[in-house]
Amino acid sequence: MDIKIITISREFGCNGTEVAERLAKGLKFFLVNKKYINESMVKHGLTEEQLESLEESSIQPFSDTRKKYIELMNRLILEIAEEKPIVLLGRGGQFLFRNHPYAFHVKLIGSIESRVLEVIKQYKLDKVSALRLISEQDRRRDLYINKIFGGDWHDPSLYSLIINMDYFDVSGAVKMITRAIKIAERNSYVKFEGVSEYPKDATGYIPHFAHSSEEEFAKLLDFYGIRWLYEPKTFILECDSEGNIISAFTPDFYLPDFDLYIELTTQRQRLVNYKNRKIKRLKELYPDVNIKMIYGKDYKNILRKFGLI
Amino acid sequence: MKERLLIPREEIKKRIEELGREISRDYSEREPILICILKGAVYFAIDLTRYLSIPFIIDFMAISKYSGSSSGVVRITKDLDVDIHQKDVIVVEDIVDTGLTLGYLLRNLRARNPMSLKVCTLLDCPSRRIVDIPVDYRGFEIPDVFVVGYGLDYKERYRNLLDIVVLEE
Repeated sequence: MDIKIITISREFGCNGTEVAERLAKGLKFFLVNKKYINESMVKHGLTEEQLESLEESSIQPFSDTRKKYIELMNRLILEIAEEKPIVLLGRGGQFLFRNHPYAFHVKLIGSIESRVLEVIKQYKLDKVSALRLISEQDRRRDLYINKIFGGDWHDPSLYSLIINMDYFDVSGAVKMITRAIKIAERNSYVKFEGVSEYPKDATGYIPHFAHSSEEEFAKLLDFYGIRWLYEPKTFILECDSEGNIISAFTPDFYLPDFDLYIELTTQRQRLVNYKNRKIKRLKELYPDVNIKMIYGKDYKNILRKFGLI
Repeated sequence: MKERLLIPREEIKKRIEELGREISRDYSEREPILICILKGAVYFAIDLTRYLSIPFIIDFMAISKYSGSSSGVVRITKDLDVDIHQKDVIVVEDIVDTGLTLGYLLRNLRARNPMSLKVCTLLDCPSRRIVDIPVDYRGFEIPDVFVVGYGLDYKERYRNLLDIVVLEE
């Protein structure tokens, strides 16, 4: 099995950009960085000013326009990953391709001391300004990931390899990642053999479905050539005053060609009512999001139509 | 399973007459190709043509049905005999519910560059829709119930019922 997607997540001041560039060059992978994404977004009609507004940091929920830009960005990344092997720098790649069978997730970390030194050197700043910049960037990345993917990017289980850049220079890190990928490719081969029976999402990933009805539904979509993603996004429904998430909702499927989320509900009435309330709230908070609920009765009639029950 | 009458034969006949008149008016001076999707739409398509006052060509198309097998993908099991390039085409369906079957068919037919492509369905069940499909001519909109009769089957039974009935457990 060949690794086709390498995601690089990094704490600010860990030379992530250089590591990603050299790694892509060495492996002959296509580098998907901010520059490439911005150029692609401009091709899709966004102006430079709109792109700049994407970088603004705020604890407030994202505006609808910004959410649309981010959805477009995610779609562009998924599309390029289908075309050729990529090294993806930042942009929540570890979530976008989470558990993807052909993805390898790297995180670069460092002590605050070494990061400050690196930032002083790179940006010609004094110590206070460097520390402030690191703090601002760390906070921005926390918020970005939390808002878009509803997850914590510091969770080590998200990564295939975490490198402490206090101990390695860029060249050493690139060598280590390249070597680690070769080992992972050998070890993963058996793991993914014989899984062609299972439904694959729009990126080729075989998800672990929470319920057999979801797997059946994915097979149905596959049969009719409808591209889908399983639980790709969590919508935040409520936060406390410090921005911690109190309530969120993750629809089962997203159909990118129809810009449609689908929630399957084949459970007990009490849970259906609970989900209905959440979907009602989601529609209030995200009026531009298209979501459809398929209830147990609908689903049964769909299966009956195909003679499956 | 119990049967419950949903649409009696008289209403079906009356509505098909209306659809025939509507299509004849919209396609006056033209000769559309009616594509009947096998097998469910046969009864409807044939009766519909009896009420068309314009020249037309009828052809048939069939696609494989999802059977729960994991590895398969939909394929055409009976393709058209006529060329629809730069022709007016009306797809005739018995029922549009999830939109999956029709969505596939429309994608396939669009690739053949028809002049126009419209959908005429006897029954429309929008509450079961998964993917959006434009329906141009609609006989009846029905709620989310499992229906058979007048071409619609359950495991190949009930097609020959003259009325449309709901099958209930």
